Amino acid sequence: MSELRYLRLRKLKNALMLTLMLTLAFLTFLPLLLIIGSITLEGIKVLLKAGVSFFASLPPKPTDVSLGGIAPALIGSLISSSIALSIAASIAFISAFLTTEFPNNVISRVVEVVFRSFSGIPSLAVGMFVYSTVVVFMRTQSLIAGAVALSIVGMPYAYVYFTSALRSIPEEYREAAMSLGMSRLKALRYVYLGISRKYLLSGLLITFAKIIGDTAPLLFTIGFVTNAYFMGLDKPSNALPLLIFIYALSPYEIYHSVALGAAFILLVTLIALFEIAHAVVKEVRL
Amino acid sequence: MFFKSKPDKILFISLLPFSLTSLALIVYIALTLGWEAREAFLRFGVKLFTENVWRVSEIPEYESYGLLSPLVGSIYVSITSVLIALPLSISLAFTSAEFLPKNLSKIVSHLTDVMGGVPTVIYGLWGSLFLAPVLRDVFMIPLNRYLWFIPLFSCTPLTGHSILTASVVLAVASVPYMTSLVREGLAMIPFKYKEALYSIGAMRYEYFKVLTGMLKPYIVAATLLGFSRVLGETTIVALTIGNSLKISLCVFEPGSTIPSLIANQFESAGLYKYALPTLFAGSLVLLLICLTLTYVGIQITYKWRESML
Repeated sequence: MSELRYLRLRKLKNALMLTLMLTLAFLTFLPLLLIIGSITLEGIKVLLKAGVSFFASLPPKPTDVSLGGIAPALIGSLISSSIALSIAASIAFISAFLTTEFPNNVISRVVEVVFRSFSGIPSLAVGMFVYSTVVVFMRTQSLIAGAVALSIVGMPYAYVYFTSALRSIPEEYREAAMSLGMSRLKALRYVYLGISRKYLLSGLLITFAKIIGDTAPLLFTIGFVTNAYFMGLDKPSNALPLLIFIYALSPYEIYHSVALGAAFILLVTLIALFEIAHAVVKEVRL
Repeated sequence: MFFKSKPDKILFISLLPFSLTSLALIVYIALTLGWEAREAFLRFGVKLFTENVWRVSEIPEYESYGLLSPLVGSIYVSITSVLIALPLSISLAFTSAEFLPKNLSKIVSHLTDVMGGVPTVIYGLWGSLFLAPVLRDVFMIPLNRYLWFIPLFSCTPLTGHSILTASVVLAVASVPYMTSLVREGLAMIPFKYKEALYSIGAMRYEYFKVLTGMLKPYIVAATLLGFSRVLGETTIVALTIGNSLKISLCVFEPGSTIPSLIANQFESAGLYKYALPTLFAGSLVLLLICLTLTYVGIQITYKWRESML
């Protein structure tokens, strides 16, 4: 009867471990829900209190009663992220095209490894690098310096998504394009882009989400302007995550509220970007 | 290097400058940080990493800096948070990929992915405003009251901003990333092994055990990648650790890491001759560690993937 006992032991062990794993998984999942929940709840409260002008006014002073708004940060974030995305995406796309078209070349392999390791660079170090090159050179923190820092941070993400988009093209299409006598560039333009456009678009959206939410590269590069909406690309500006970070560090209650409102807006933007990216790719049928 | 045709060669060469920007950038970043840090290295030498002082002065001769405390803090915080995040990520990945019904698993993995995209500043804000007070009241104060004789819990918690809070928030923030890595590895294990396991009557737990055994290198890689990410993380730590330069084993004490020190001191460091170079030295060390860890982690995942094919 020892076999039966062994089976029972196995069953017991199985049940125990499964319960433990499920509990752990639930405990892990819980904070993720809590974060979304608490930021949404507090954020909506702030937005209701501040009204529509939260999107259009300047941030408050510590002694103000009204919450003011986060317009400079919204404008700064939008402009810097758009510039950064266009730089990052073009470099990443060209590199991705090179490494997928010439996969066995030594240089392609090096580029591949470098891009994959690139995401290991702490974004703070990127910010310091841009500070000591662009900011020192221009003698001022600026929107463009922030955009450069963000583009460096976004590049590896764009590369990873673009390569997987280009590599997802079935080999038959590639062969068909080549057998028609198309050059590689023509094949890219008329065949590959059409097939992989949804993957490319979703990669673009996710890279944008990464860029718009990053704080550390902006700390020493973009400045922190709270008394003007927009002063030019070569002048200091502000950004949404930066505003949240600095206001969260400050001791004033009113700044914490503004930070929560801004965090809610950022969270909604990001979730929207992710959902669109997800929906776009789900439709792909090859 | 040989090409099948001349147009190929021309195309490759014309694409090359753009593709090499990445390589050039990494080298240029490291060189720039090193160059900016040179004065600190020359003046303090090894003492920069073996002493714990932060003495600013208008007169350069009186200045003295040592990064021991933030260095120890960085490693301490990163190790604790990875230790918390790893078992959680493995169980979440397994549960959502293998054990949950399909609909539920889809929701869980989708939400985990979304949370992986949420900026760290939101985690930091949540940790600083909501988690820190709760952690202090329900966790730190009781632990300190009853387990004060253990050095880890021996100090009285004050504001809730502490090494423990930072580690917990970092762990929560790195769970989505590490979970997705583990899930990626799981998906890569050929189906025949999974079928074989069930066909010999393996129970869920035994199935889990065998698969984790196969995944071991991948899990090591996920740990390294997670560690590197946590080590370079700035916003969460700066918002939750409390920023003090004391070295302490007690997890309820505020502390600092290299990124949080840089974030806090950078603006004022420009006033002193050696403060800024010291911060650059810290970031250079950080960069080298993070790059190495990421490189090794990625190489392991490549090797493992090839072995699975």
